[in-house]
Order: sequence, then C-alpha cells, then structure tokens
Amino acid sequence: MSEVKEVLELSHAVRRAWIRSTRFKVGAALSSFVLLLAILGPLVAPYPSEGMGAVPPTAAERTGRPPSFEFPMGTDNLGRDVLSRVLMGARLALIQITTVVAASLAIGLVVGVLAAYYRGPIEVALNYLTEVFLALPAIVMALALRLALGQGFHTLLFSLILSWWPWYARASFVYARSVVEMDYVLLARLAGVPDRVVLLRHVLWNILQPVLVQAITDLGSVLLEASAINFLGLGLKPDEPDWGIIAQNGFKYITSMPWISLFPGLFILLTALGFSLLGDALREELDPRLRRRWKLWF
Amino acid sequence: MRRGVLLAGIVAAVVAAAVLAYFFVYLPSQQRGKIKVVVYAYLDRITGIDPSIEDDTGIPVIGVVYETLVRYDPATGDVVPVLAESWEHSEDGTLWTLRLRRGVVFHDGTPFNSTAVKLSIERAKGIYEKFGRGSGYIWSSVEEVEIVDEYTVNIRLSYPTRLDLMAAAIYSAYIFSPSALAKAGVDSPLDPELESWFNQGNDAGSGPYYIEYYSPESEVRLRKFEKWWGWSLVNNPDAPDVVVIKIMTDPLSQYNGLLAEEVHIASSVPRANVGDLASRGFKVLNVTLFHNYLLLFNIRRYPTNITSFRLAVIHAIPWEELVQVALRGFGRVGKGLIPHGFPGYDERLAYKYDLTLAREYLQESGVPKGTTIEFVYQGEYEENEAFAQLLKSRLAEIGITVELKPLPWIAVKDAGKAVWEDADRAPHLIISDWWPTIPSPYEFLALLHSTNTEWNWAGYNNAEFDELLDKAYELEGEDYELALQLYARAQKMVFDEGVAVNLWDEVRPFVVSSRVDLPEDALNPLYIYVIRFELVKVRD
Amino acid sequence: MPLSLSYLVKRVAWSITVIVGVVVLSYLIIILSPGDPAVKWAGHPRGPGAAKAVEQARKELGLDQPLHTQILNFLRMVFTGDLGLSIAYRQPVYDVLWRNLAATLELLLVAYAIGVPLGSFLGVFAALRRGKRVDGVLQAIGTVFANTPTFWLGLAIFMALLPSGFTAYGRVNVSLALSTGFYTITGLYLLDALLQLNFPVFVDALNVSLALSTGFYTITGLYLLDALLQLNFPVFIDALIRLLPPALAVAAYPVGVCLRIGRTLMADALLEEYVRAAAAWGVKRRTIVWRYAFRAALPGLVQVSGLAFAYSLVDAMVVEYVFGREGLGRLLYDAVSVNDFRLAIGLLVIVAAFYLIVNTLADIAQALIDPRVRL
Repeated sequence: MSEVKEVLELSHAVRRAWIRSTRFKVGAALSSFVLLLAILGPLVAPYPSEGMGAVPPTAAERTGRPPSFEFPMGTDNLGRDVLSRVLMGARLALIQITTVVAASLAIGLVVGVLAAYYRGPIEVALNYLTEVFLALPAIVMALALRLALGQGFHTLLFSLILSWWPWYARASFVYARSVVEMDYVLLARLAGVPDRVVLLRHVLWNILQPVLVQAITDLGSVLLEASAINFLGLGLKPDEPDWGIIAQNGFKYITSMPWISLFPGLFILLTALGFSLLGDALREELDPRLRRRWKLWF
Repeated sequence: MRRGVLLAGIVAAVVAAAVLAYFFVYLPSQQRGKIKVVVYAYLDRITGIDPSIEDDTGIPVIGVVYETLVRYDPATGDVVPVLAESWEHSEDGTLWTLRLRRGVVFHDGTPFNSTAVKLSIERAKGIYEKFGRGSGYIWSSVEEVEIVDEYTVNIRLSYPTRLDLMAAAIYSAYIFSPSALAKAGVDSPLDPELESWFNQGNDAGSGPYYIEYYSPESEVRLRKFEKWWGWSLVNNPDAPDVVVIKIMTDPLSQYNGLLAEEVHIASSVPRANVGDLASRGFKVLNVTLFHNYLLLFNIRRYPTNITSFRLAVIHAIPWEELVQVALRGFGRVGKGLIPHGFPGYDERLAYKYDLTLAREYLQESGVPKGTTIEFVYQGEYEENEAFAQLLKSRLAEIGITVELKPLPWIAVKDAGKAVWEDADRAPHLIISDWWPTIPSPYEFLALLHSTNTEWNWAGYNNAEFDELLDKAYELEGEDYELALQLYARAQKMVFDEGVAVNLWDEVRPFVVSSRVDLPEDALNPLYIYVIRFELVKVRD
Repeated sequence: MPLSLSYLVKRVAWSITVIVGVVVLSYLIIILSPGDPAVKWAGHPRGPGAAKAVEQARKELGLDQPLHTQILNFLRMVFTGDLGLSIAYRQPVYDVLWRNLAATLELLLVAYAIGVPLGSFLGVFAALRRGKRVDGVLQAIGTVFANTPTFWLGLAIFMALLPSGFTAYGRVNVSLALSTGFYTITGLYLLDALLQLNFPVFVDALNVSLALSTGFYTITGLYLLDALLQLNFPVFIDALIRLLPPALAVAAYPVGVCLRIGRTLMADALLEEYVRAAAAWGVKRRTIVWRYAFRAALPGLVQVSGLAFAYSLVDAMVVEYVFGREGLGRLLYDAVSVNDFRLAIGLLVIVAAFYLIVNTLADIAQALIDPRVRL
C-alpha cells in the first residue's frame, strides 16, 4: 500500500543521508546533543535550583564572575551559575518548539487538506483565513496578545502557532490538490469509501512526508523566533530559565558581564543550526526537485 | 566651439553654486554650533508640570522652572531664602510675616509680588481641599494670606506650624504668575482647565530656565531665562543655554548615551557599569537621597494578617546581601521607615537576617509550609527585580513560596489601592518607593495613616497610630521636640508589628561627562532628581 | 507587457480584503480577551481623568451597539487613519507609526542593500567552484548566517564596538543636529527660515517644534535622505555611521539565505544544456556566467529576497532594541509598558500591510525579470 511505501522512502532517505551527507551527520549530532542536554540537564547541572532561578546563599561573593573552572559559563548578576541556567533552558526550549511545530502542523494539515478536498466555498474561506494569518508576523501578534492576555507560556504559544500554521496550510493545500486529482483517490470516492477514510489514508498520508521534513527544519526557525519574542519580554515570564529570557536579563549587563547573554545565544544558534541542517539534508535526499519550490519552502 | 562655451557655462554655474552654498549654508551652520547644551537623562516619564498639583515625576522640570519661597538645606536642617528674602513670626507662631524679593520677574515678564504668592498658596491649598489632589496639605494650617503691600505678606495660621519648612516643600509650594489664568482663559484658579493648560507644556514660572519644548514621554527642552534675578549672585557665565531633559526609560540607553556623548548627565545607568564609566574618565557623584523603598504587608489578607508570619518574612530578608547583590553597593540598609539623615531617623529600628528566628516565627504563626504569597513590584526598576529574586530564594528556604508579579507603575498603584476595596485581590507584599514633600517625619509615617487610601497599601488601620501622627503634626510648630518624640513612638509601633519595613535608602550615582561640571550643591537630597542647572558649568 | 492591469487590480483588492480580515481579528482580540475592552482601549488610565478617558473609549468603540456595527465602525477608524492618540506618546497613532516605520525601513533597506548583493555574489562564486572545498565552506557559512539569532549577533557587534567607546547608539547625535540644524536667530521662525534658505521649514513654520526637537527638519523620515536634501553633511555622515553596525546584524540573514539559494540556483543553471552549448560555441565565460546563468537564477533570488525582507522586519525590530534606535522595535517596548492597545493594533495593521506590499512587489519584480512568468 502507498503508506508503507512512504515510510520506506523516508527511512531510506534517512539512511542515504546518513551515509552520504556530512550536513546530515552534523545536524543529527547537534540535534541529539541538545536533546540529550534537555533530558539529562536537570540531572547533570551543578546547581539545579539556581538553574530554575533561585539565588544562592553565597550570592554576595559570587556575582558577576567570568567563566572559570568552577563556573564554566560564569555567574550572573545575582550570583547564579549560568551553566545550570542554560542546561535548564534546553528542556524549556525543546518543549516550546515541539509544541509549536506539532500544533501548527496539525492545524495546517487539517486546514490545507480540507480546503483541497472540498473545494468550493470551503476552499475560498479557508484560503482567505490562511492569507490573513500569513500576513501577521509572530512578534506583532505577541505584542497584542501580551497586552490582552499578559505574560506567560500561553502568549508565546498562541502567537507562534497562529503565525506558523498558515505555512503548513498552504503547503498542504498545494500538495493535497495534486493528490486529490489522482485516479485512485477518485476511484475510492466513487466506490463509496467514506470521506474520512479517503482523507486520512490517501490524501493525508501522501503529503505527510515532505511536510514533515519541513517541520524538522522549522524546529530551528521557531526557536529563533521564540527566543526573539522572549528576549523582548513579550512571551515567557522573566523568571523562567528560557534562553531568550536569560539573554534579556544579561542585556543590562552586557558591558560588564557579557557571558550572561552570549552563552544562551550560542546555544540557540547551535540548536537552530542542528535542526536546520538535519531538515535540509533530508529534504535533499527525498526529492532534489523540492528545493526549487522556494515559494513554499523557506 | 559651442561645446566649449557650454562647458565653461556649466563650470561657472557649479562654482557659483558652491560659493553661494559656502556662504549661505555652510558658514552659518558652523557659527550656530556655539550654543551650550546639556542633556540630562531621566528615567521616568514626566507625569505633569502643574506647579500646584504635580506630586510625582514632574519634579526635575518644575524644580528648575519654578521657585519656592525658601529652600531646605539638609546640612543645617534649616531653610535659605529664595523668593522670600526674610520672615518673622509672632510669639505664638500663628502670624508669619514674609518680605519678598524685589526685582524678580516671571518668564513672560510679569512682575513677582504678593499677589502671585497669595494666588499660588491659595490655589495649592484649595485644590487639595476640594479635589484631594496635589500636596496642598502643607498649607492646611493657613487661614488667611493677607497682602500688606507689594512685597510684604502676612500669613495667619489656625495653629502654629513650621511654615518655613512647609514653604520649602518640593511639591505644591511653587509660585506662579497670575497671568496664567488669563492665558488659560479661566476665571477661577480652581478651574480644571488651568491644569490642562499647564500640562500642555505652558509655564508661568520665575526660575532660571523656561520651557521651550514639552513632550512628557520623550523630552523636555529648557532654555536659559536671561532675566532671572539670580544670575549675578551665582556668577556662572558657563551655565548651559539649553537643557534637554531626555526621558530614557532603559538604563542601558543612558549608559550608551554617555559613551556616545549624547547624554552629559545620567541619573540611572546600570549600577554594574558605574565602575566602567569611572575608568573611562566620567565623574561619578554618589548622592544619598531621601528616597527609600518600603516593603508593605497586606494586613487584611491571610497569611500576612498574622503578625508572627510577617515577622517571619521580615527576618528572612537578607539586609546586607541586599545592598551588595541587588544594589551593587549603591544603597544603605534601611532602618525603621525613615531614611538616613532625615528628621526622625532612628537607627535602632533594625531587623536582623536570621533564618532560624524566621522559622520559629513561621511555626508560631501556624501558617503551613508551601503557602504561596503574591509579591507585586515595579518591574522596570532593576533593584526591585533583583531584590524580588533574592527574597523569593530566601523565603523558599523556610518553606514559603513567592509568586513574583512585576508590573508597570500604574498597575502597581492600582494593585496596592485595591486593599481597601477587596483585600483578597491586593497582593500580600508590595514595594512602594517613596520620597518626602517636606522635611518632616510625617511624610513617611503618614503612609500608614488610615485615611490615606491612596498610598496606604498595607490597609493599616490603627486609631492609636493615627492619633499620634495627627497630634505630632499639629505640635511641630509649637513644641518640635515633643512632636519628634511622638513620631518616634509611632514609628516603633509599626516596627514592632512589622507592618512595613524600609528595605534600603537610595544612593544614586550621577554620572557626568567630562565636558560638564556638576558641583555638589547643584544636587539636594530633598529636591530629588532636581539639578540646579544655574550652577552647572559647560566646558568646550 | 508581462504585467496586466487586471492582475494588479485583483492583487490590490485581495490585499485590502486581507487587511480587513486582520483588522477584524485584532478587534476580536480586544473584545474577547479578559478585561473591559473600554479600559483596555483607553490604556488602563489612572488619576482624575480616568473615568472620562474610559467613557470616551467606550464611545469610540461603540460598545453599546451590535457587533457588526462595532466592527464596521472600527474598520472605518483604521482606514481613515484615526485610531486616536497613542497612550505611550500622546500623539496620533498613525504619526507615531509612520515616523518609526521610516526608521525601521531605513535600517532594512541599508541592510538588504548590503546583504543581498553580498550573498548573491558569494553564491555565484561558490557555484562556479562547486564541489571544491571553497564551495563547502561558503555553504556552511551561509547556513550558519541564516540560522544565527539576530539579537545575539546584534549583542556581539554592540560589544565589539564598546572598547572603542563608540556605541552606534541612536539614529543621530542630538547635539550635533541641534547645533548644525535649524536654529532660531531672530525668534521669528519664518524670517529665520528664509535667512537660512531652509525652505521646508519656511513652508511649514507651524511644525517648528518638530524641526527644533530633531534639530534638522525631517521630510521623509529617512534621515539619510533628509540630511542629503538639506545638504547637511555632518548629520548625513553621522547617521550613516550609526546605521552600519545594526544594518550588519540584520544583513546576516539575507547574506546567508542569498548565498545558499544563489549557489543552488546558479549551480543548477550552469548544468543546463544551453550553457554547455554556449560554452562549446566559444561564448565568453563572463557572458555565460552573468548574462545566461545568473539571469536564470535571478527570479528565484528576487523572490527569496522579497520573502526574507518581510521576515527581516522582526529582526530589525530586535536589533533596534539592542542599539537603542528609534523604530518599530522601540514601539513594542513602549507599548507594553503602558498597555498601549491603540499602538499595538496600529502596528498589527501597518505590519500586515507592509507584508502584503512587499510580497506583491516581489511578485511584480519577478514578473518583470523572469520572461516565463506572466501575471
């Protein structure tokens, strides 16, 4: 069946990429490194409570220390160990991006597939909705939501999901449109197979592959945007150990204690790079021609 | 042949244009560069500049544009003459006679005389009594202001007070020109239209500088008032011609501004950068201001309504660490409610940082471990943020969870005031940073007076305390020593019950560019954030 | 003509309907989020004028009327440019937005003027040496640049400049502007303007406060252009110097993207049959590279640059915050601290419009460049 073929293709692509592409190896290495940090972080961190924001009892002696053997990433203005904070931040970063990408993917797929399948007024309405949200960048949404809903995880989540889902919707729509035209789908509909089954088994499954690969690349891009939103104080609350927030805290002290902002930024870079390389390499293996559809892929 | 002529013509035209441009555009622009400009970076947006009503962040403007009758000198504890040249009071202290300075004009040319004084005092008092706004309470003892002649005023009081100290207040004691009424198109000084007129940027003052441009959210530009009476006394030919008070709400921008030579005097650079600036050749003046940060407990809400719980929290405050870590050394540990050097300061009213004692108090209070309390503070101040994190960590050690809620100033005020409507909506802990209007202990203690619903965010309602305060205030004119004793008793009461504590007294580092000379007497701890620019020298 | 009028009309009409959707959405955010919409719209006022301000906000929004009337009314407000006074700046919202949009636009334009050519040419360079070490290195650099968090790069540049004591802070040196710009001599602004041959100010003497507060008169809002128009070279140089470091931070992303896409597209183009044929026929190498292959790659580059430009708006705002420049980024910060809903909504609308305009322009540019595309 077609779905089995798809899975095989994906795993084949992964294997090919692993063998052939350095980019894939580097990307996979970086991504798994970050994943490892996220999982093991809390266990490995030398001062986990400081990582979560607590000020140590010996703060007065330890504020603003540059990176040293004892504190590999230095201490911040309140004496907290920056390494611990960055480690705690890994978990938060991954939670944010996976939630956002998963939710946007889900919504986008549903919208795009329904629009392609049902044509007519539904298609127009859903496309219109997609365009409206496409025109809104996350950061401006985050401002409006911040004023409306206050700071917190929900603000970050909503602003990012609301600005990312249209990309998936548009991509799914274009793909689904071509799949829906295919003979076997028409035959299935004529044969009376319920819409639900057709949609799930034939349409959705076929377009899943390229969209999934894009989602992997997007994990990196979402992290960049989420960090920027947190950095400006529009998303998470200031005592959360998020990389963007730590960088914002350190911004006031950029001239005297630059390591507070520099290290989290470095980790953001590495994580985004990792996912981006991974996604790129996979995409190239799956279909070199996909690259050219730069209008959809970005 | 024709091409040659054309070419010559073009060349001639270009040369002519260049010459014209040189004389009419370039040279004049070079000549213009000789005005002396001082840019003063200020952290908060200006809340207003009405001389009778303003009681908040408008102070750096009104303190320069307007003048009071006298000025307070913290070194001597006494006042020096400004618009009032001399004064005397009767035996019983209820009749004060003021002799006014001659030769003073307001910025629009109208002369300064007793009419202006009468109007200014009556307006400040009237608006406070009628609308409850401003600081006109300083004139509450005034029964009548009588004009004896153009430069003499008799002020009759209903009970004796230190009128000279009142007239030195930083708010609502400014003298403005009566011509403002006609300009604003109002008949009565109590007409709200007059306030709007002032807050649009109009000024009716007599000070060394007048307002040239007013944009309360970004900058206020002042220009030298050549006809000010004090220039001959001050003898400072290098005083700035233009002063730009620039609103810079981000401390790092102030730092950048100094380095980029955009800003010449900065009041709020990030404390961690002060050392860096000093090493680059900037001058640093550390001024201890009568500005402190009070932690108020909501005594109407569980669990902060239990005295032993409050004492538990208070003993978990790391006093020394607070100054070192949160303020980076720019502060003094707070005692009682009143700051260092201010009348009524009592250094015995100090708590210790003792977690064991704190745990004992906690147990005594019966409040279970893991209870959560809310803490609201103005999030834009880095000191508050650092202190909040510190307190949260220390309280976590004794088992109390703190939910931090940094808010903008407007929201903090609303949150605090809510204690009177619905105490459960108001936070448990809230920071109110406070500075006094007049040099009297009343200013700090009145924060907890039961009728002060605007600022009494603790919800404290103690009749005995109120009585002490009221009596002491009335007694200041008659028997100052006794008044101070009563104030001391009131302060001790609050201390024992742990209703509100003074976290720290502010030491503000004013960082000054090497092009500007800021003498020490241009700053006064009472007239907070006011820089007397007439004493500032600009080098070139 | 690769571009038809009907396409343009359709495109514009479509964009307008999208903006309408954005406005309706933002209105819903005000109405549906927790709290009293009138209080939110008035900016949570306090003090004596609070009740009056809330009442006025209530009337403006027309909250006592049925929903569809409210929405129509709100649409009218947005499209006539009357969102009231911004709470953070006490000036009309659109004025504030326009002024800051000009600032951000200036930053973006300079950043892209640097980034796109640089990235594209590096991409061509890599494509010409595809397979070799240089190609791999350049591609890696491109990927890294495209994935660097801009705020981090901004911070790094900012810090790199610090030891020199120059911080590229703000858009122009206020004292410099004050002392070389319009300065009142006689106190009679009209006369002064004539004497200084400063015609823009002469024409608009009423707006002298604006001229005085920035020292020199802003005509378009793009300081570089305005300084040139006034022959004010000190200010021009100063503004340019302050523009470069933040522009470099913003330029990293387009450099990375154009490098990668450019390399890919060029490499593909170079593999095409006609290129090989041309080489065989002895056409000069330079002509092949630029006239044939690059031209084929250009449409793709333009499209990508257009999309990236819209995306970079976000980066520009963050960089502005880091360097303390005036611009849309500053508005974010200020709007949050005083609950300025009006400004937030105005920003939403303006940014959405910006996106739509940029995308339309990119498509038009592509149509003009790529002979295969017919709109």
